[in-house]
Order: sequence, then C-alpha cells, then structure tokens
Amino acid sequence: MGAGVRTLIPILASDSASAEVCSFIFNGLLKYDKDLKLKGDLAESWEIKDGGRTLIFHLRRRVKWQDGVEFSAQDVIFTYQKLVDPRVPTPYSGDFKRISAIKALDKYTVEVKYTHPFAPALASWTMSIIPKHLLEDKDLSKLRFWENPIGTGPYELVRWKHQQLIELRANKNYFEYPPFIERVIFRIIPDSATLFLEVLSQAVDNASLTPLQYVVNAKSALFRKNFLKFRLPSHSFIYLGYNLENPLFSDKKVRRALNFAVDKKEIVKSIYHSQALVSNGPFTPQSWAYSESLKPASYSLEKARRLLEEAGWQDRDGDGILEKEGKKFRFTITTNQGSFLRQKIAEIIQHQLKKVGIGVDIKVVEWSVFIERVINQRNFDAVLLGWSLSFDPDLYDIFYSKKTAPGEFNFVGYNNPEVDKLLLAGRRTFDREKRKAIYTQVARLIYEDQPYMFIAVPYSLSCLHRRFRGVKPARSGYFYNFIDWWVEKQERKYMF
Amino acid sequence: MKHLFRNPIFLSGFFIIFFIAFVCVFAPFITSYNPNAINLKEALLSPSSRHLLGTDTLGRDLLARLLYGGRVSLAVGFVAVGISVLIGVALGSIAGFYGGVIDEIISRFIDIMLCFPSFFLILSLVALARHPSLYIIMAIIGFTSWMSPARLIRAEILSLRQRNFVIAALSCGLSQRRVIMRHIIPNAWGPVMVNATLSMAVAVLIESSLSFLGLGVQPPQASWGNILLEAKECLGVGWWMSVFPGLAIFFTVLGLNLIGEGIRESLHK
Repeated sequence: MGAGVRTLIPILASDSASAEVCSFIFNGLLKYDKDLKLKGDLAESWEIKDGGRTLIFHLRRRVKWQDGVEFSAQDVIFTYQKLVDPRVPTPYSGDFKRISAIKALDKYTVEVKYTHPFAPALASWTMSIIPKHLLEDKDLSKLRFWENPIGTGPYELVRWKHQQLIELRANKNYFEYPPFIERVIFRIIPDSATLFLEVLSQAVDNASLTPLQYVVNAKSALFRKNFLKFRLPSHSFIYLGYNLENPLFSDKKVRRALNFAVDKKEIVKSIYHSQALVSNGPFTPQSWAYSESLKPASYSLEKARRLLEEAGWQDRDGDGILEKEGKKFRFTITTNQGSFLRQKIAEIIQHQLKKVGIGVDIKVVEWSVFIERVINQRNFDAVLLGWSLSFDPDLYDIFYSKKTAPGEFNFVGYNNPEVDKLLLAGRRTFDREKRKAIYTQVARLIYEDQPYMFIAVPYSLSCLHRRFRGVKPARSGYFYNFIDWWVEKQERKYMF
Repeated sequence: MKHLFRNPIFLSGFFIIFFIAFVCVFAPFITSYNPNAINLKEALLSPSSRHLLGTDTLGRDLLARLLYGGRVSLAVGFVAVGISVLIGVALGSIAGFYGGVIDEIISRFIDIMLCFPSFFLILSLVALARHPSLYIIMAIIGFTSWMSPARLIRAEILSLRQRNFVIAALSCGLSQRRVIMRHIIPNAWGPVMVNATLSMAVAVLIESSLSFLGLGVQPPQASWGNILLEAKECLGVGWWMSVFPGLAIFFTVLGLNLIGEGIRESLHK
C-alpha cells in the first residue's frame, strides 16, 4: 500500500490504508457481498419496522473477540456511543447522529430507532464494531494508536512497524471458519516505481498499478508469468472544485464555459491511457444511483468562448488573457503532492484553458498542509482532488449547503436549495427506484451548476500473484472472499 | 591565467561547461519546440528525427525541456554560489582581518551553521516557503552554503595579514578597507574560486534533488530534476526520459569539478 496506516481503531480510520487493514481485523453488523448487496456479518438477520424508523438486528451467537471474551449487544451499543461522542474525532458520526434511541432487547438483539426514516441507515451499520470490555475506560481521542487491537475478524495483529509494515495472523477461532492463508503482511511502499520493481521481483503478491504500468509495463513476460492483472470499476471520481466564494467562479456561465473548454476525453486517453471513464456527475457507474441518461458535456471551444463572452469576459488588450472590469481571468489550481496523475491533469487543464484566454497557475502542496491550510481554511481558487464514495448514494456531506464548516466536506461552498431539498428527501426514501429518481435529479442539477468540473472516473488497477487459488473477481472487487483463498503446497513461499 | 589555459583538466572542464551553457542560452536557435507546449497526440515517443531526444508523457519535446531546464539548473548554480561567495567573502575577510572578538563571533557562527546537515536544512527551509519559486530556491541554497568560502578566506587572510606587503601597505597609511579590497582579497581569491566551482556543482545537484522531490521548480517549468521525477513514473517505458537529463546533470557536475580541479592544480604550480 502507498500510505502508512495511521490508526487501527476502525471508527477513527479515515484514510483508506487504515480502513483496509481494519477490515481484516474487525467486522461490522453488516457487510457487502460480491454483488454489493448488504448481507449479515456480526448480525445474522435484521428487520426494518415502522416504515424505516426502527431497525432490529439479531446478532450471531457464540462469536468471540480475539482475546476470548464473548461478543454481545453491549459492544454494539458501546460502538454507537463512541461514534456520537463529541470528544472522539471520528469522521463517521454523521449517520449515527440520526439515531434517536438504541437499546439491547436481550444479549443478542439490538433495537435502533431513528426520528425520521433514514435510508443510509442499514449501510451505516457496516461500521466495524469495537470491544467494550477493552476500550470502555479508555479515552479514544488520546489513544491514537491502539498497539494491540482486538477484533472479531478473520485476522489478528502480530506486529506493526510504523510506516513500514503490518503483519497479521489467521484467527483460528474465526466465527465463520479460519482462513486458509496463515499470514498477511501489508508493506508500505509510497513510491509507485519502487512498488512495481518489488512486484517484478515477486517480493509482493498484491499491488496497485498506475495506468502506464497496467498498459505497458505489465506486458513484459516476467510480469505475465507470475501475475494476473485486474481492472475493476472504482467508486471514485476526479474533479476540479471551484471556490464558489471567489467572484471569478460565482457565475454559472463561467463554470459551464470552463467545462466546455477542457477536453476530458483527451485527459482519459493520455493521462489514464484509457483506464478511466469521463465523469458525468457525482455518481460513478458502480453505483446503483448512476444514470446512463446523463451525458457529459462534449468538448467545444466555441461554446466555451461564447459563454465567457456572455458573462462579460473579453480580451480587450490583446495579451491572450480575458478581462472583465479591468480584472484578468487568472486563477491557481492547487493539488496535493505525491499524485503524479493529478499534477499532469492540472498541467493539461492549464494548457487547454489558455486556448480560451484563461491563465492558470499550478500549486502543489504537501498533503497535511493541503488539508489544514488549503481545504479547511478555504484558501484556494480551485482544487484538483478526488472523492472515494461509499456504496450508499447519499451525497449530503458533500453538497448540502450547510456542510461548509472547517473539516466538513462542502468546502467549495455549494448552495442550491433545490438540491438541498432533494438530498434530504433522498435520505428519507427507502424505495430504491424512487431514490434513484431523486438522485438522478440531484446529479442533473449538480452537473448543470458545475460546482465541480467533473473529470474522470478512474478504474482501480491492480495485480495479484498467480499462485493464489480461489480468487473470484466480482463487482465488489476480489478481496470479499479472501478467507477462501489458498495456495497449493508446492507453491507456498513462506512457512510458519 | 596563462597556466590555467594550458591545464588540460581545466580546459576539458571549461569546454564541457561552455558547451552546455552555450546550448542552453541559445536554446531557441537550437530547437523550435516550446518546452511547455503540450501535444497529447505525440506523448511518449522515443527519439527520432522529429524529436531528437523523444517526448515526455504530455508530448512535450524532451530536448527543448532539457535545454530550457538547463537554464534553470545553471542559473541556480550561478546565482546561489554568487550569493554564498558574497556573504562568505564579506564575513570571512572581516573575521580574518580584524581578529579578536569579531573573529570569535563570526567563527562560532560559522561553526553553528556548519552543524546543520545542509541538505535537510535546505529541505526544511524550502518546505517553510509555502510556494517555492526559483528565486527562493536560489536564495536558500546561497544562504546555507556560504560557510566554506568564509572559512577559506578567513584562513587565507590570517596568513596574508602577516605578510610584508600588507604591513607595508598599512604603514603607508592606506585605509583598512582599501587594503582588504585591493591587496588582500585578490591574493586570497584562488582557493575561493576552486571552492566556488565545486560548490556550483553541488548547487546544481541540490536544485535537481529538490525538484526531484517535488519541492523545487514547479510545473510546468522544466528543470533537470523534475524531468527526472516524471521519468521515474515511466520507468521501463521511456528510457530516454531518465537517461538524457541524467547525463546532462552528470556532465555539468563533471565539468564544474574539472574546472575546480584545474584551477587548484595551476595555483600550486
């Protein structure tokens, strides 16, 4: 993996590396199966009552935490309490704050009540459950690193060398059955070129690939002999977010002009080597809320020029840059360091916007500075970023007009009362068809408003060593049945 | 000077640097490509008659980027060393000439500055400058590398001060400033020149390293370091992207070292 694991307390894990490792050690009440449908995990079954206002989970019996203590409804309630505790710095509290009451009906039954029907409720219970008996008297906000996490999951922690590796061992008492693969080692290799060299020397078995590696390097005989490569649809999109408080971008016409002026197909072709799709709005084709009927705007310099002129931007002094009321159209795109692809995309946008007379500067900032100074203080003209979405299509956190405080996700300052209303309605509707209609409308309105320039939906590209058996790629990826994988005896590389 | 141009080491270094500087300065006459012009239809082409050194991931001509990037690298080397020599000579000669408490203060300050591992000091200073520009990088490299010229010139002056011609000049009633500027510094100049050429090589390397780490010259402006950074992403796909900027850095550093070595040799003759 590329970035170091920051915490192994699942409710605090906001980065993908931490979340990935946590998913091996912990379980939620529910999980997604291979077709991205919800299925029971720590809960054996569940009921929806009161038109969606009440959920009842029937928990699995005889599940043991990795230290031998029995798992019960109290752990679920404890996890909820920690999630909504204002002192616990968790990014996941939003969904759980909708809960009006939670109680254990008996040792193995939990009842959750919501004030309003809340559609993302079920999906939110894929959140990992943490052990009450170990964390009850601990202050989670201070306990950044939990050195020996105890979960209910198929693997348990052996050692953790910060910024280097994490080693997991199979949990012999796992409630389904113990996994066949005895040890899993996550190594942290931030540099993609180094990572690929490690792949070629077979020092790693599973790794993500850059588009160029996927298309060109993976053709080598050495690679093909030992590795399978995978291309899976991802749940993320890349966008250029405008600071809507900046007068440059307050006019919708200008934002639409910018959208016409950037050739997204060209970006997909040359930067992603066609390993991405042109984005048509806030949903990716992976999501059930995605609508085929929305077509991304096609590249047209003419339309862009016309819209800019209508908005009052003209090049009066002939220097190639547009002006309006004596002000030049010049802005800065900020993006984070370490993402080669994003920097290249920024350079292409810079190049293409110059054609319509817009000057762009590029600023590349280190990640933690980027989040604290640029995003949280809204100190930017435009940012080039990506969102990884959850499986539920709820976009409340990203586009609701009130989610603009520092640390919240509507940092562009998007405000459309109609979208607000639809977002709230979407959360209260359980019927999938009706919900889909709502979100199609949301996507259409947002695409029209262009608070973001939606650029691309990249595929997730990876490779896996051929000696693993039982791997069955599906819509949700190929890790969903990891505990069923095995390696034939003569092909085993590591002995324990 | 006569010795210098008969010294084969100096000559070979001089020609290498002269050639590199010449092609970089006259880049527009050598290539017609704009180093920042993106042409996605010609991305990642290998060297050919159309693009002598091939193209990068955005289809920009690599030769043009190398030449224009060379301007950056050489300018950083030149200006940074200029700054460091200026500061170094000023502080070093003051310390050496006046001695006593002034010397103590300046020498201890030099010692303190030398305690910092210079590359990490530069890294943290660049990181502090929120938006690293070329000029900031020049200044940072210059302000963190004046210590060795300062020490050199101080030592040189300490010995020159005792020499008869200096004592004679002072006893003739010449002002101290005039003695330092006209009689001492010209005689102490040799070792400083050696040091300056060698540190120019170091400055070129530091700029390349900074750009390679993404902290130096910002895109789309080219520098040898950030061309290499891009090349790393295309390892095994575009050998030309890593080989040519690598060679450019190699020959520049080699040339500067040869010049320094040549000057040193001819000084000892």
